[in-house]
Amino acid sequence: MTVEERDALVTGLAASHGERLRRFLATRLRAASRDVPDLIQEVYLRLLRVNRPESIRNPEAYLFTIANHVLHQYALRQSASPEAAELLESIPATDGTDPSSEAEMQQRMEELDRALSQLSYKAQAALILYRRDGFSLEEVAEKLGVSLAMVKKYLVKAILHCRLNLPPEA
Amino acid sequence: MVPSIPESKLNTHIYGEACEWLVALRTGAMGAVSRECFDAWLRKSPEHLRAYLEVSSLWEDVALHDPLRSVSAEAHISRAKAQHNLVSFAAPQTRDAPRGFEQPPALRARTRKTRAFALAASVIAALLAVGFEIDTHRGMYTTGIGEQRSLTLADGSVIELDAESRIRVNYQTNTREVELLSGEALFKVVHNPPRPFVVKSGAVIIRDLGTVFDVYRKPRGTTVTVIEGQVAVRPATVALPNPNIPQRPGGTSIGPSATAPGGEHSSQSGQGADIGVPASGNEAGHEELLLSAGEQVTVLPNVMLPPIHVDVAAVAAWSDHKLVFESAPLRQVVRSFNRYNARPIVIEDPALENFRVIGVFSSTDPGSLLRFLSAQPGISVIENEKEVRVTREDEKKAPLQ
Repeated sequence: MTVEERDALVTGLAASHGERLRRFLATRLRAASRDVPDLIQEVYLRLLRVNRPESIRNPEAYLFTIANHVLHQYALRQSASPEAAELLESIPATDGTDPSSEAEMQQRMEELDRALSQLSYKAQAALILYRRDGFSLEEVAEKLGVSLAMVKKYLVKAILHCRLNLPPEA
Repeated sequence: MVPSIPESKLNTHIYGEACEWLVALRTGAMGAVSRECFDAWLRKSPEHLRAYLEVSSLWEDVALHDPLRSVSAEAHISRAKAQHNLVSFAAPQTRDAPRGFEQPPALRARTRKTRAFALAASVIAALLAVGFEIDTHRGMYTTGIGEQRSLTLADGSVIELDAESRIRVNYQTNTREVELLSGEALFKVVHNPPRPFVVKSGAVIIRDLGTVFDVYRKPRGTTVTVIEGQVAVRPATVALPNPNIPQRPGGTSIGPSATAPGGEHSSQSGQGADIGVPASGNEAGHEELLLSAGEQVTVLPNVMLPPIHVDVAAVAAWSDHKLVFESAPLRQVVRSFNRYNARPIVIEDPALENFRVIGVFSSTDPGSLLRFLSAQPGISVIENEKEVRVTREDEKKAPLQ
């Protein structure tokens, strides 16, 4: 197999299910995919099966744990195909590269930058200070000269705006 | 490729609620009532659940974006003040595009091959589970309770990361370094002598000599087990300092287990490895120790204990979601389970801490262990929503719930 063929195969494989999986895993579910509704449904049904007293203690942890299990099983099913296994063995080693998909990550970050740049300066500043720079809610409030409640509002606005304004997956 | 869902189909209202919950959850502790409301909200429909997963993923992305700090929050603040504190949801169309969003050209110039590899890498690892924190810019990988990850590195080496573990990967042209910050990892290294593979864990440095090996960082020390081949182990005190890997002093944290540092690994009990008795060990700070397949060594801050022989299959069993105990004390068993399960098991009666457990259990199903314990004469298992308490039978009079 030539390098070009292998690259094409890798790309094809990633496009056929790997990328769908990754997208889902990164929970960027806006791209329409046949499997996503099923997977979500599965997570949902499993959540309903958890006793409420248990999940109320930490609903978010339960949600993520369940989602994790569902995804893990999905990944196992997907990787069971022989050509996937063979391919994974033959992937060329690249020097100094991180194992994760840097290029995709970068693309996501650029999209995020664009969405963020459409926000008001204060909402941008609030999100950047709190999430990227690790300031506390109080510190962000002080820097912006607004109340704690207002900072939270900015954060909600900023995330919602990003979610609704990210471009469709290429 | 796949067309996106039309904007009109997005349920903006649900996303709005999801963002409200997200921010409430991430910016402060939540009371019981709110937790109950959130739980009920999540259960409303699959769309609610999906919206929440999506926005929480975005929330993670925001922390990773702009690692070069090219966008200044202060600049935004001063611009905002210049606008007389006018807060508009949509930005003014006339203002300059923010300069800082430009990426350095070096980052942008990606060959197709690299991109294909990057995509393939995403297939490989069955990657990025929700909640699996990944920070490519710092090479940091973290797993939560009950979460295991397999990472295939650029050179083909594979790291299996156990639950509640954290590593930092630092690959340079001539070196491959991984720091185990907490937890346990299994390393399957592609040997390449000109580019040595080195694992750092607290007070110890492990140099690969063509191998598969397991490193478990405990509160007070590190246990290294060689599954295949050989590694060289040396105390970090004799290492050349590497400014890229901030040294975190091993063994200085005094956790709840500080009084019981011995035999914490699921496989080494019954092997006579009482690391609580450092007098039998060698002084650390000397030459490298060569460790071969089937051997295990535990390194405490100032002492390297003599190597012992262990069942390597049992050591690596966690990577198959199995926990193997050969006459391990219950406190150790409980600690292992608590790395995989959100509801902790608590030993109420200290007398039970050294109760010996033999068996193979599923790490993700504490039920198997609890059934085993319940069946033991004199042991009682009390479950409530917060925890599972293991106590002695004669204390059953303790109020339930």
